[in-house]
Formats: sequence, structure tokens, C-alpha cells
Amino acid sequence: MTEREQREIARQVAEGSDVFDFDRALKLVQRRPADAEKILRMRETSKRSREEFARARERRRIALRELL
Amino acid sequence: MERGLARNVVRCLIAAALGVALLASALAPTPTALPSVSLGQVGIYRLEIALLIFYGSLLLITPAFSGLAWGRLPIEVSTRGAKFAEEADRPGVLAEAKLEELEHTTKALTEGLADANVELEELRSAAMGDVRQPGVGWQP
Repeated sequence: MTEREQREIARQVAEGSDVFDFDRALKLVQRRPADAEKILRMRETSKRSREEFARARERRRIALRELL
Repeated sequence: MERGLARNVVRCLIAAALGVALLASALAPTPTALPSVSLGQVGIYRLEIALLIFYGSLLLITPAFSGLAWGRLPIEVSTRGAKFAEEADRPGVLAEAKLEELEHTTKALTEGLADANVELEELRSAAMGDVRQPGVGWQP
């Protein structure tokens, strides 16, 4: 992984994190790149689940309205 | 109908239903052979009549009132009151809030663990460095 790629991943990890600032995130990427990727994957999964939940809630709301 | 006015009308209707139920239970003639559900006691028999009339009236009044006042019927009427479609979505909102909280905690824990692992590795390599590079004053 090039230094530029490392910095880009570190930026993504630090973005929206309460634990990592950029420097800590860069250290994480350099020392444990698998963990950094796991964190990013987990965020992506959470985002998708949240969107799916919101869609399901909307469908439920519409179904309830149609029922009445 | 305004919310405040509606509340007052509901209060009046409930008071009327309670009054009618109590009056009916007091004035109801007591049969010589009491039904088995009243366990042979006149007091329980009158209480049951009051409950029957009160909850029966609530079951009738609730949908009738909401239908006449707001033009909508409740989706559920129970002893705890009526539930409307808008309120039925509330569990979804609560579940979403709980999920968000849980997700935030999981994220913080995962990131904290990763950070701790990095720190451990740093300490480990620092310790290894200490072993390889003896301190000042070290004599072979």
C-alpha cells in the first residue's frame, strides 16, 4: 500500500470517529491495516442496514395508512 | 376539533360513563341466584356490572368519538385506550433510536479495541527496542 493510499484510508477512518484522529488512524493503517479495513467495512454495513431499516419503516407506515 | 377541547369532551364522556356504570351497579336488582363469576357475593356482582358497563361504554364511545371528531377510527382499542395509525409508528421510531445507540456503542468499542491493539503493538516494539538497546551505564 502506498503512503498516499494509507493516508486516504486514515482520513476515512478518522472521519466521523470519536476515537481516532488522523494521526492515530494513520498509525492504525500502518500497523494494523486489516483492522482499519474492518472498521470501514463495518461502517458501510451499518450505513446500509440503517437505510434498509428506514425503508422498511416507511413501507410499514404506508401499509398502516392503506389499512385504514 | 381542537386538542384541548377534545380532551375536555373525552373527560366529560369518561365521567359520564363512570357515573352511569356506578349508578347502574347500585340500582341493578340482585338476583336470588348470583352468577358463579361473582363468587356468590353481592359486592363482586355489583363491581362486575360496573366494570362491564364502564368498559363497554369506552369500547363504544372511543371509536364513535374519534370517528365523529376527527374522521378517523382507531386501529386498536384496549383497556389502555385507543391506538391510532400515527402512534403505531412510534415503536419503529423507538427501535431506530435504540439501534442507533447500540450501533454507536459497537462502533466506539470496535474502534477503541483497534486503538488499544495499536498501542499494545507500540509498547511491545518499544519493549523490544529496550531489550536490544541497553540503557546508559550498562556493563557487559
